[in-house]
Amino acid sequence: MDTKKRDEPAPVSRRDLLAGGVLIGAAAVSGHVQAQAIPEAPHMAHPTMQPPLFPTSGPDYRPVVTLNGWTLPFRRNGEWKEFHLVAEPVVREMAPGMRAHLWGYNGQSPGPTIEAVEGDKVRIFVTNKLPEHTTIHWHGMRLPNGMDGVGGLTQPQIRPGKTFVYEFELRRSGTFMYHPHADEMVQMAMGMMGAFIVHPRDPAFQRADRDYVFLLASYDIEPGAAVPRVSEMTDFNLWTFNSRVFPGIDHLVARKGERVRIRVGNLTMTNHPIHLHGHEFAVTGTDGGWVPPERRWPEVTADVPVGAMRAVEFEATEEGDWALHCHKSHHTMNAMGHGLANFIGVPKRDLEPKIQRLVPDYMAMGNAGMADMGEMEMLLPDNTLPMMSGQGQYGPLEMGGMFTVLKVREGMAANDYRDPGWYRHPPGTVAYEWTGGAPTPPRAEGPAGQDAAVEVQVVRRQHMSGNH
Amino acid sequence: MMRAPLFAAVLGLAACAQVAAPVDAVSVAARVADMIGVATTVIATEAEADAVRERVRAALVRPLTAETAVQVAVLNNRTLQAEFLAAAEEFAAMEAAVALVAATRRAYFEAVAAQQVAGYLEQALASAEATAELTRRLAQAGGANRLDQVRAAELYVEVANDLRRGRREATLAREALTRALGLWGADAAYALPATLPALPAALSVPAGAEAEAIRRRVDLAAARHAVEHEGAAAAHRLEALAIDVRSEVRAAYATLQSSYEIARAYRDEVVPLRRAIDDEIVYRYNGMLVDVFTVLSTVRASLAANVAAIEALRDFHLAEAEFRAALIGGGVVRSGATVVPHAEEQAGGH
Ligand SMILES: [Cu+2]
Repeated sequence: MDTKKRDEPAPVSRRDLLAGGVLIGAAAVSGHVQAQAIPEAPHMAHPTMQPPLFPTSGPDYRPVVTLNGWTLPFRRNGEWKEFHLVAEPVVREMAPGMRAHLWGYNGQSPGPTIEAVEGDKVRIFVTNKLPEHTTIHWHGMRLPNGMDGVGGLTQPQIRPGKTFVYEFELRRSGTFMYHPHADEMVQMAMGMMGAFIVHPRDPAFQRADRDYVFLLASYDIEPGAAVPRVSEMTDFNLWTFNSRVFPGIDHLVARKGERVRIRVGNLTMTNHPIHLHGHEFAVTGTDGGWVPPERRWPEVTADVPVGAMRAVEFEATEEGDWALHCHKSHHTMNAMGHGLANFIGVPKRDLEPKIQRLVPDYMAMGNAGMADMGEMEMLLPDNTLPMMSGQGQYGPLEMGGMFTVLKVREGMAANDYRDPGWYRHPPGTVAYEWTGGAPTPPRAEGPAGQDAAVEVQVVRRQHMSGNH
Repeated sequence: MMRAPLFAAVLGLAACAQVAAPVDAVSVAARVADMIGVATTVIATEAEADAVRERVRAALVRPLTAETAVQVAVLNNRTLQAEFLAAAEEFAAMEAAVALVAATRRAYFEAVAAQQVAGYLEQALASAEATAELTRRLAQAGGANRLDQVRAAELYVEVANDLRRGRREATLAREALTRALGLWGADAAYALPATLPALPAALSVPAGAEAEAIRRRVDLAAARHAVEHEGAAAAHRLEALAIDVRSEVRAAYATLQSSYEIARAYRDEVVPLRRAIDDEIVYRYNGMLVDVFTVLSTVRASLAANVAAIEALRDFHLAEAEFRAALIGGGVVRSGATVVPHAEEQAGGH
């Protein structure tokens, strides 16, 4: 479904102007030196996926690619790798047509991915530009207790305007994340989080050809508004990969035969069964460490628990466009109503002219399901994405939320992450319509039939919205 | 009696001899016309009755305006004619005239507004009907329970009763106007405009309104006349009345001003905001955030706001009629009634 945009000028922030373009690497970063001794705090003005940041010194590693994100450049200072995170309000485009007012780091939510190598000593400057205090907790890391980032417990809070320094050695490789541990409910509901990847010191260990990472976050943003309701506990309406929803989430690409790793961290308040089509994978790591090969088993869905991370790996042997999504079907939808009557099997078209006399823009929908939504073009509240949308080569995808596509192609260049377009299926390999004759199979009377009215009124105890 | 031939004609009895109007009645009518600024004449002969009927019918060709209504009433209202012909002194005729003008204005705005409101209630009924029908079908398909169904059915009947009441209001208000206009038979099928006159762009502050009222008020003229005949007691009554008249002018203007502001707020704010609410609800319906029942109930709420806007505009016009009456006479304040009366209260009041 295409939505017409009303009265929505593309906002150009001061930051957009300062950043002046897409960040390519450390050389292209903007930002300003906070003080002589503090490294620059690079700033990202765009939600587009940035190319991986290859190591220029030290042990070799395969850098990760952050969906709709970027890796934070660092400064080497003696034996330390120095990073600078700035906690601040950001405007995050969740998909074209919708901008959320969140809190994040260095211009985006989630913040930049931090990448370093097992054994590195990292010094991370954290400047607080939020209106309230914050801290950063380094989820899963072994570190001195005073570096754990729990406000009040292991350190004083970082007051607004202050900069704190975290210093620790990366004692094990793996998949980690960072997030506040100060007014944590609010700050995570506002989008504060980031991935932290520690590559093995041995480049041959756990080597993958493509390494993707994203974090799961949920938001409750009232249609027409932009700020999440931070007190929501269960009824979220935007289920995101890296604070993006379909159709705004980057595609993953792989050359046929490459070993692919996908790392997923869950900072929502429910579990997410992340499902990949067309391949079997194994969970090779959690935020607790690497899973020994003999302890792995094949899966096509990895349930990512709350506050946990999973790294899954597979050989991308099957060419095509393969869906990668949360298997909770409500999590592959954008904002939707939960109290709507189900009009399946209810003819409404004949009442359309009558209602249109009262509501000129009214269109009858939903009498056969909700797929109308994916096809129609109509006005929505400001800053609101359709519940389902997206177009593929065969028609509407009717998806939202936690959904994207893994594109496996023959002959892609090793470090080419560009979208190769839709898969060209070999002739005779696409499901097709049967045009020959077929006997009519015997069928039971459908519940939507007029004759079944009495029976269903007796058995149904369906909750309806109270608005009629 | 002189009135007999006319009544005979009206009642379909045999017509009697043609008798000319007394000179007094003609001059009273002329002075009344001069005072209220609306043409009138004495109907004493069949020829005069025919002439008035012709003028009235010409005025009824187009949908009535407030000014045309006043003109028709002043020409054609038989109670006023009776005052012309029977008045021992001309003050009674004057008071009857200004009361008729004010009552006609009130009845006119009441009638147009009530008819306009009934149109909105018809739309509300269409909305309730669609809700009831959709719920019935939904229940048939198993998507609604009996509770939803009976609620929708009950709502439909309530809204249908609202419409019945609204149509009765429109009929009664129109009949009050018809009586003021002195019409019957085919002439009573006159057309009213579909909507009330628009709110004026601005409300002018009347300079010297109190002085004007002291100069023009018919009841004050009568009280002055009484002083000449009755002496000191009447002089006190005159002074008391003059004080009241000044206060009435101020009160009527205060009512006019607030009615204007309220009607303007409805026109410029409430109605556009309700339209924006309707739009937003349709966008939410488009996004499958709410269902059609929410759309229909929102539309009903907006229709209610539109009805309130019409009533506010009506109240402005009633307040303006009352303000004019405060300057010349015939207002409802004198009789102790509310400043803005409704159709029933003034029916037959002249
Ligand atoms: Cu999920």
